Amino acid sequence: MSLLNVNNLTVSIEDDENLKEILHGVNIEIKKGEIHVLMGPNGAGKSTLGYALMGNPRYVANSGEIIFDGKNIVDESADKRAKAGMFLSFQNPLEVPGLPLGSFIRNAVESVSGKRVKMMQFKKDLAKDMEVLNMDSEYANRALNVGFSGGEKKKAEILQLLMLSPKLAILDETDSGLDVDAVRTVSAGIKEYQKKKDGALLIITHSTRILESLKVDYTHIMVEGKIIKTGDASLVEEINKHGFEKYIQESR
Amino acid sequence: MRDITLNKIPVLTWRWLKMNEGAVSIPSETGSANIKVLNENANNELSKENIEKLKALSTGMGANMTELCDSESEEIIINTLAGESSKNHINICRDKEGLAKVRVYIYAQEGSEVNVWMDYSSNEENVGALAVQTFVYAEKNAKVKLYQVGLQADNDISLNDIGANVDKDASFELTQLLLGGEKIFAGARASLVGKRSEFISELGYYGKSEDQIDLNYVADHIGKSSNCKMIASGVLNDNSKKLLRGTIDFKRGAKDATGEESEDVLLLGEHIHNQSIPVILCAEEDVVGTHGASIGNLDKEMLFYLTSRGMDKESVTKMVARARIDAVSKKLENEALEEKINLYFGGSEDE
Amino acid sequence: MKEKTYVEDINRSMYDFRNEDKDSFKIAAGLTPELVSQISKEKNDPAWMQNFRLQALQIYNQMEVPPWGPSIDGLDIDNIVTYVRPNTHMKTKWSEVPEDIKDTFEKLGIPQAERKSLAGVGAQYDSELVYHNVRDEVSQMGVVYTDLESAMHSEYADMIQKHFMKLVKPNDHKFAALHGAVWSGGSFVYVPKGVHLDIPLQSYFRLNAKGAGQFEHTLIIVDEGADLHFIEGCSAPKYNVANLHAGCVELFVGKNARLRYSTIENWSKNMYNLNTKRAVVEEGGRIEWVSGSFGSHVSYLYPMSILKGKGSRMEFTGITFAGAGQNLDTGAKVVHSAPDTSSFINTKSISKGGGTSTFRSAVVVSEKAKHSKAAVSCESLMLDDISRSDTVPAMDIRCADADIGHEARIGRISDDAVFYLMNRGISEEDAKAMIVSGFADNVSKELPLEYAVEMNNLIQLEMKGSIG
Repeated sequence: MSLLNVNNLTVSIEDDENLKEILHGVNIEIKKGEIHVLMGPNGAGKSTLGYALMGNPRYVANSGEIIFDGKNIVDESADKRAKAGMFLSFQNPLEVPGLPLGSFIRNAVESVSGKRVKMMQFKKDLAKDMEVLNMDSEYANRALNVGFSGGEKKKAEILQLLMLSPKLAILDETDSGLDVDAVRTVSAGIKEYQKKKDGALLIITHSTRILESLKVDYTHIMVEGKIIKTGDASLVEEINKHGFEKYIQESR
Repeated sequence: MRDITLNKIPVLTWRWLKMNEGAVSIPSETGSANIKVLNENANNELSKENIEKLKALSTGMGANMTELCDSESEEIIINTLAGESSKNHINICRDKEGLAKVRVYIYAQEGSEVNVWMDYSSNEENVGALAVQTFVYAEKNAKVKLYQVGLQADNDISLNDIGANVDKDASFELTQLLLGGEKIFAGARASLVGKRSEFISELGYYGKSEDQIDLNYVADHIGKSSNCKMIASGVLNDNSKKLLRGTIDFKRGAKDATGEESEDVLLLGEHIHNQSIPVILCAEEDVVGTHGASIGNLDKEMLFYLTSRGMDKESVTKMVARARIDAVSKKLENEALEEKINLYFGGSEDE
Repeated sequence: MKEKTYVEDINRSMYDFRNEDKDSFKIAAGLTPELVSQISKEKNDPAWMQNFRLQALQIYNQMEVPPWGPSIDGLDIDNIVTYVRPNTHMKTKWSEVPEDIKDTFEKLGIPQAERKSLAGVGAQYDSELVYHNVRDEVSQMGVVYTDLESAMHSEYADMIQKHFMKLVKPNDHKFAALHGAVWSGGSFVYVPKGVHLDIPLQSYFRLNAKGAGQFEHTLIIVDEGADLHFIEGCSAPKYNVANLHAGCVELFVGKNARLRYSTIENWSKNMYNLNTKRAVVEEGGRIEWVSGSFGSHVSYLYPMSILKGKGSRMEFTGITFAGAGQNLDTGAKVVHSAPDTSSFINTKSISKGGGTSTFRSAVVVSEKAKHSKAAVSCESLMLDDISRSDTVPAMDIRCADADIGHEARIGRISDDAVFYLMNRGISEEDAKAMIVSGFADNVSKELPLEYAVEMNNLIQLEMKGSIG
């Protein structure tokens, strides 16, 4: 059974009271445990798809369905989608002064699981996952993303991914702007997530570094709000060699 | 009860806005307060001359407040000798009904470092008012850090005033959390007299039920290269009201001075009332003054980010509101006070 | 010899010519019920207007001068000739306008502008409109553009009675009351439902008489779905006696209508400019103010917008340039009283040569204004250390579901920017002039080209000149 089924989804963005359509009928299917990669030139609508799947209210689904775990969630709010098992790693995570990373994650975990989490157990779990990500335990007490470097913010996102262990994780440019070591650490975190939960992934990326240690099942190319080609892992290599132009020509 | 007008803004604007000054009814009879003072490396002796010098300082709440505190005030003196470093704690608990008055003189001699933590509470068995006026004098190279936490009972009146003088290369840092009380009037005025003098003020407040919060903060830039930074961050819930007047006044001759004001207000209650008037007065060319304010609901992108982790809008909003207070609370550098604040908000969820 | 930049007083000579004060009729100085009645009679007021004036006079006598803002001590209202009527009646053909007055407007470029790019022009000389003309095709669209006095006796009489000083009431402030009592001249514009005027209408106000007051009233009604751009220009020669301008502008913007109101004010430096402008905007409507304040000795000018209808919107773009002897207190006011309303205030001010400029604003968001948005941005430039620049913005928010942003900045021309431009071979003086022009860019790009050029010339003139 498929985990995620996106059927003919069109999405518009609300901008100064006007609606502008960005996605013009996107179809995508992801099964449990699969790794999908979404590539495409700048402005193709990749991040828009991520936001639309997670339910950012600024991105309005005009038509189409998002069937997640057997249920159409297209009208659900972001928190409901999270509870259903979806996760989005943000390209630019926001900062919240005064809100410690650790207590934020604890609240989120309790909310998603619907169960109280014992402090001791939580601290142990958190420490373990932070270790995977090479994060100093001090970070748990620091305000969410405040004063974090680019790499630290991305690690904090993956830490949330590990602690929440969703069924599907959408990673929006999680590797952009990171140095080689940070990409390796983040990749290790992603592998850990897969191992732990047989989690599915939709990875939006420009580069292949983050994919190196992962077994990619499908690759999609998005251009101007449409998926114009879907292939297997080898497509990533081809894109690296030829760029997107070839596929754009083909699709015309 | 009698009426008193306070917190007059340095320049007036339209009267229909009713923002030029604040008015409050205070008890006519004098009340009392229990005061605990703990000094480490400071004495409580100050020459008459220095006392007069302090009393002459302009304060945020203005001359009416000074006149009010001129009589029947409990007086606390904290004098730190040149080059010394002192730590001081003042704990004030309003006791009997009526108006309790306290005046604090903080004198930081040349090159000294002075830390003063003050917190206000009240006898919960009655209702009353507490007026505290604090004068600060930072001599050359002195560093004064003043932390104030207002945790009076829900129906109390709190008047909390500050006047400061900052000499050459000296700094005055003020961290305030004004939480308790139904009518909270506060003001601070720093005269940045010396070259490279500095005033940093960070304020947090949390308005609830019918609270009225009325504020007046002023930085007078007189010295060259003087610098001020006034940050206010607050939450308005229920039917609470808040008025913040913030003024940076660059006097002619304050060359190379910089001033920054910023305000962030999270509006949560259905019937809140938020008023802000961030004034910059400028009679000098070579300065940079800025102001930024952001007032409203929780930002939509922020709300999406946080709810995408599984918490609903309501719990996310509560969490962010509390985080605003905690962000200031962390800067108190005092765990006991942090814990008091935690208790004030209904205790810890942890453990 | 190294050129040093200094900032020259505004070159006003092109506005400073004046005609001999040979008017046929003048009323004695001072303000009495008799005098106000005499104005009424002279103007052949309908009965309701006669009463209105007398009531306004009473209010005027009861009200005090505002305790805030620049001093107006130099203005002795008892010695101001409040009503001066030039020796001509309104003309619709330019050739019929008397030579000296025609000459004045020729110098100011009014008829040229009309020929080029305006749909209609009105020119007021002292207290009366001397010239009014609307292009045929515009009047055929049903657009009315005429002087207010004759409109009061036309088919629009009821419309005027219904709207006149309903938005700015005489008890608003002392000078609104004064205006109510002695107003004279001005324009009435009506744009019918759905009519879009692609080219602007313009009024030009010229105060020539010494020690006089100008109290013109502008009443504009833009009906549902209609669209209008109205331009107002003002100037006066310089006398050593105080002049007073207490005009009043009332704008009614209908449902889904749009009105842009542009002003370049360049009164001479003996002028007390106590002008009141206000707009009310219905559902989905839009008011856009573009305002340049260059002249006057003292100005109190804060156009106000009342966003009454759901989804209505206001934009205010302004620049104020205060030079020697000037105290210009300008800004904007907006009241959000309906859901989904938005307002954007963007102003620049420049102070030099001992001038004072104050930006003053009020943003009010009422409890009803859910999902509203307001943004204020004001920037001030100090060109020397004998001038003054103050910023006094107020916000009054009674709705939690609103989004309010404010930013203000005061500073001087950045040395780095000057250095950067000089590195590209530009002289210091030119570099500074370029930076100041760029600073005023927010307004100039909102003005019709001719006006933008004129404004830029004013700024360039200001920045030119060298010493030692």
